[in-house]
Amino acid sequence: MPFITRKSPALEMVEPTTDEIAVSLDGVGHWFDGPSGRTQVLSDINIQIKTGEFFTVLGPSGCGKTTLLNIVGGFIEAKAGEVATFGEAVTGPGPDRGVIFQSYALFHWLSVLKNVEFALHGHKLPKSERADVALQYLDLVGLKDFRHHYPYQLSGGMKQRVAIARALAANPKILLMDEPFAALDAQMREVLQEELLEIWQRTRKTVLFITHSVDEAIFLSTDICVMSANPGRPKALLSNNLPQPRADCRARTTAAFQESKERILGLIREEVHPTRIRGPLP
Amino acid sequence: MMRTRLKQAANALEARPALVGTMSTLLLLIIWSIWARETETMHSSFVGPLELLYQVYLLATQGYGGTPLWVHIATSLFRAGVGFIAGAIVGICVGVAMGYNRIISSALAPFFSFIRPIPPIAYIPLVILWFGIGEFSKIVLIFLTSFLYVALNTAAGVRAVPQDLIRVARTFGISNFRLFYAVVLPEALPYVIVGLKVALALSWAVVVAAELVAAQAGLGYLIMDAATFFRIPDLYVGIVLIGLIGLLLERGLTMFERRFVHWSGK
Ligand SMILES: Nc1ncnc2c1ncn2[C@@H]1O[C@H](COP(=O)(O)OP(=O)(O)OP(=O)(O)O)[C@@H](O)[C@H]1O
Ligand SMILES: [Mg+2]
Repeated sequence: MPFITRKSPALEMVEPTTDEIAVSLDGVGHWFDGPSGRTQVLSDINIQIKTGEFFTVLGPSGCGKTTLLNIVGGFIEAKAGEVATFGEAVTGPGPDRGVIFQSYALFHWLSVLKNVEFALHGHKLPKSERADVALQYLDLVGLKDFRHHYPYQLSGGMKQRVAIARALAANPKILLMDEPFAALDAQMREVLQEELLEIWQRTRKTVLFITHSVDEAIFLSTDICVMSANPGRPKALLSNNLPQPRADCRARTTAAFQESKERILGLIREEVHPTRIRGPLP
Repeated sequence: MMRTRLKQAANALEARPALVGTMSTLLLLIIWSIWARETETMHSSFVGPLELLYQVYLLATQGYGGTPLWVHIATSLFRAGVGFIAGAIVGICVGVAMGYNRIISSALAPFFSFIRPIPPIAYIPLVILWFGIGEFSKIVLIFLTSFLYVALNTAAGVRAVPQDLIRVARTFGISNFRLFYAVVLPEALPYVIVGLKVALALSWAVVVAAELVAAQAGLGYLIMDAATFFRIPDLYVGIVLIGLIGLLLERGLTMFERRFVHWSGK
């Protein structure tokens, strides 16, 4: 069984992590008031993400994944519950949490290098050093030679690499990624997944990753939270035992991978057809 | 056979817009010259291109109405320039406030909606009543014209800044002021420039209109005076100069746009 629920005694962490809690959501709920009344988007979310985990939230469209990420990012305030990173209550965005969006959100009037340097303004660095640091991060994502390009001269995959380098340059402890590869074609998505995995293994950041691709979740994560919708709440917390290292396309074709996938798809299917008629017709 | 050749020629021309433009201009000049020569005896109000060129030379060397030609040009440019720049500065400030603050925007919206369809030249009699026929009334008029378009476009630009962009910037711990000048302003700049382009073109048109009504110098005054005293060639020169200067102003802003918002629309 590649998946074991968190509380199971057979719990087995893929990577040794310290037990420090990086992100803690305690009874978090959120709703939006609209013209047609109140919509409860998230309810009773209790999640603890340990330092160094790659935690993926997987769920159907509209179940509140982005809202959850925005709450952890400090962009919106949860209407109920407590949110903390490293024991400190979240009161707004901060340099300890880097974000990467599906839309890349690059500053398109700045060159690639300047985009990454933008992340370093909080760090009191001399100008030349700032460029050096930015270049190191561009090198990490393989875009050193494109430093003088502008975002409009890059492909989608390259743009997202710049966004990753920019987020990493601020040296956050936590990376928040909201469907970062959803806009890319299948091949580019897999390439970037492998790169991200490698970066995660090298930098040991805590990652909160959002996706609705089951494959992506299994390939990347140490932990997967399958969400149910209306209102969004965790349906199952799973620990991913797919062996490391995985930064290799062969990991995707193993039996363990398929088994995990089936298990999660089963959970999602239950979600999509909760009242599916099972018995024979009368 | 014939068709393929025509197609080839069409393709060749399509790739050379500058050549086509020059050729059409030359053609027009030739037709104009011939026509002017044919009608010379019948119509004194028709001036040919050569006569026009000669008249430009005369005006440039002798001036018009006792005032050198460059003074007329400079007067019009000064009025349009001061009004345009003042309107642009105030317009950008008000536009930013409207873009940032929904309440300010809602409070000002009815005025903008009401004022927008009124052509600025409709205010000419009113500003003359209020501020007389001096420089100030013309500058006020152009200020209003420029302010309106710059403010509306700036507000739209600020509102259009994607939320993700602001959120990403905020994670880097930047101040509100830095967020404004390093993210919101550059992101809104293409909108602002569209506003500036419209405002500049209108400022130039309105200054001429204002000078037609009441002025002692300027290109608008020149053409009005020339028409009144039947100095037909001078009237032509005035119109051509207004067109040329308007074109140059537009080109100037386009160059500025290419330089500073080269990323826009890509
Ligand atoms: N600002 C808002 N105002 C009102 N309703 C909102 C707002 N933001 C999100 N919602 C609603 O909250 C629900 C969850 O939205 P959210 O964007 O978090 O979903 P999601 O899981 O990220 O979906 P997707 O996979 O499509 O990105 C949706 O029903 C959406 O309509
Ligand atoms: Mg989403």
